[in-house]
Amino acid sequence: MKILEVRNLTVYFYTYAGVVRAVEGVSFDLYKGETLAIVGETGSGKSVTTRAITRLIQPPGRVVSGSVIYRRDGEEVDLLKLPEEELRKIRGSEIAYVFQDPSSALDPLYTVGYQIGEAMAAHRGGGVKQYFKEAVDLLRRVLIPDPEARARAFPHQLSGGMKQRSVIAMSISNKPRILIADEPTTAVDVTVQAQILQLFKKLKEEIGMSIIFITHNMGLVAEFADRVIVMYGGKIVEEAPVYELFQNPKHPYTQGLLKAVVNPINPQNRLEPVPGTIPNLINPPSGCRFHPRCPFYMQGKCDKEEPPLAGDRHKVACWLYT
Amino acid sequence: MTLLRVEKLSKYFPVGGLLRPRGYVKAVDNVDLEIREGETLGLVGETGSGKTTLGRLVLRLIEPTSGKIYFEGVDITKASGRQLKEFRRRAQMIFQDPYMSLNPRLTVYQTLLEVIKVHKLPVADPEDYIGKMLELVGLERSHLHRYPHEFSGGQRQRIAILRALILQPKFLVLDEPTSALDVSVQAQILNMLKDLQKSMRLTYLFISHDIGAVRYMSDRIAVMYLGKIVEIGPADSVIKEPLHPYTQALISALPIPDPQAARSRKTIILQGEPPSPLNPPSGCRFHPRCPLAIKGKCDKEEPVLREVKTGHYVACHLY
Repeated sequence: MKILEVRNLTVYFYTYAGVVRAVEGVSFDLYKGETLAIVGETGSGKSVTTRAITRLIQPPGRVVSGSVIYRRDGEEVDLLKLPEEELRKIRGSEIAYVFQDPSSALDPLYTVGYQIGEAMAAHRGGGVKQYFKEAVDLLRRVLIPDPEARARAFPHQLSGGMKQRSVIAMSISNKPRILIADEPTTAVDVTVQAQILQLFKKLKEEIGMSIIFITHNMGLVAEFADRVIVMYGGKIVEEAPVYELFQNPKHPYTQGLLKAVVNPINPQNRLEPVPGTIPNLINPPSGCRFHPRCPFYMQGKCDKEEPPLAGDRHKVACWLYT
Repeated sequence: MTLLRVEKLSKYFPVGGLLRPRGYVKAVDNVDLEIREGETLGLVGETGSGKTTLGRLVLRLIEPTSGKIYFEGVDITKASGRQLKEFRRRAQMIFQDPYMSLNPRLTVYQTLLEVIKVHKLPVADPEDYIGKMLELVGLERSHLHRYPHEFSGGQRQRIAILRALILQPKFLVLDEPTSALDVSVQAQILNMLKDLQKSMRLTYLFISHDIGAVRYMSDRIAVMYLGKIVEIGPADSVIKEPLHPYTQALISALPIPDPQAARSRKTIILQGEPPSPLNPPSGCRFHPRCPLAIKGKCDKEEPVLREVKTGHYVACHLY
């Protein structure tokens, strides 16, 4: 069942240097209970896309066009057209976020327990204090040892992993239907990363939520995702179920990305890097945005016309396949 | 042949108190290590394990609290003056963030010229020399008079690498050299470092939390936990048959870019997080998180590194 339908989403940033075409014509669906990974490098538009879903884009950025249809209890709403008050009821409760840096997501002046209670009070009404017990329960659920004491602690008294768990506790406090996790483990160590991923899996089953998981790490995608979207230069270049994507990557960029990461268990003899660097989105390459770096570049075609994202379960935007 | 050897090297950082510190963070504690000529030794560990401090210690960027450092057989722990300057020419460091390690007010040419001047390299025509060297790291002569902000992250890291190589060193400490870069650019830099090592006969100490990159680069791997080396051995052996329970957990938790393999293996999930190096646990420092800890032994006695397989050492009471 589709829970979210993003269509033709376009987000521009109007800077002094020019218009940054950060996300252009992005369309995808999110199904109930699935984990959808969005992978891409710096500037691919993966974070902007997911922030635009609940209109978290700040000036000079603006959602130029598109629609985000959110389905619940048989009704359909376009999140991009919803009045701000209505949207605030959804954001943080039905659609929740976990960002990369837990320190900037927590207020240093309030205890962790207070902040979690505040998130619940904001959506359910009443005073913050009455939710304290529930906040402690949530901290217990995200496997924080001695949750009673931790709920009374300030963010600076907690380690990075503990802070990220507190943020996760806050994000699930209203039992969201969609959890958007933007590089949630980039700031923590490998052993803590494993703990947090296991926690996500557990919570997903308990709550039955859908997860949009944003990462640049192909290893985490392989570990965790059901379906994968690959973004490059503000556009989706490929979309496929996870096994299919790793077995049969179609877009030359996806192929390049997979050859450029080391498999620590079975390392390659030699990595094959993607030549060149990521494009400048003020003045993106014409036609296919990957064509200046593409080993299969066809002159007169790839630099002239933009390839559409085509296919059924496995979609790819590349002229090699049409 | 051994290029660099450290003996019982320690670095304690005082914490709190103005005149009398409240305590010490034992960032590196009693470490013995040997780096052989021409090899890459990978150094892995999590935040606070002391890997960066160890990297700085061996280059004498910070002074050790105790212990000795030998470079090409010569004790350089207390070297000064000309001897220290010669050591600094032969042993160089490359840092993680190429945005911070280059002076934004100097062009590439000025940055590199400064290195030549400080070390009084006998170069007749520096502009021509530097122009040629740029090609060595995949840049062009036309980049000579540009400022750091005109380059991408990957290109900046190439400039930082060239700044180290222009002195024709023997030994490089690479501290997370690709962590700030995108995946596709990381691979370019790693390959370049490998090629340069061959053509210039360099020895690397490669420090990273990215075990994939370390595996790709290294001949041997050392694993640090809370200021101690807990395991060291041939790269293949350490990754495929890790001996220390910490290394085992670390390897089992690595994200691997292969969905089938990733989902069919068993991940060892450690409880808790690395404790503070201010008050490290007694005995084996890993014992409070260790799934195999032996009560009355691991919390009492500190294990020492022992050779369990050929060239593969581990500090654990299980062996």
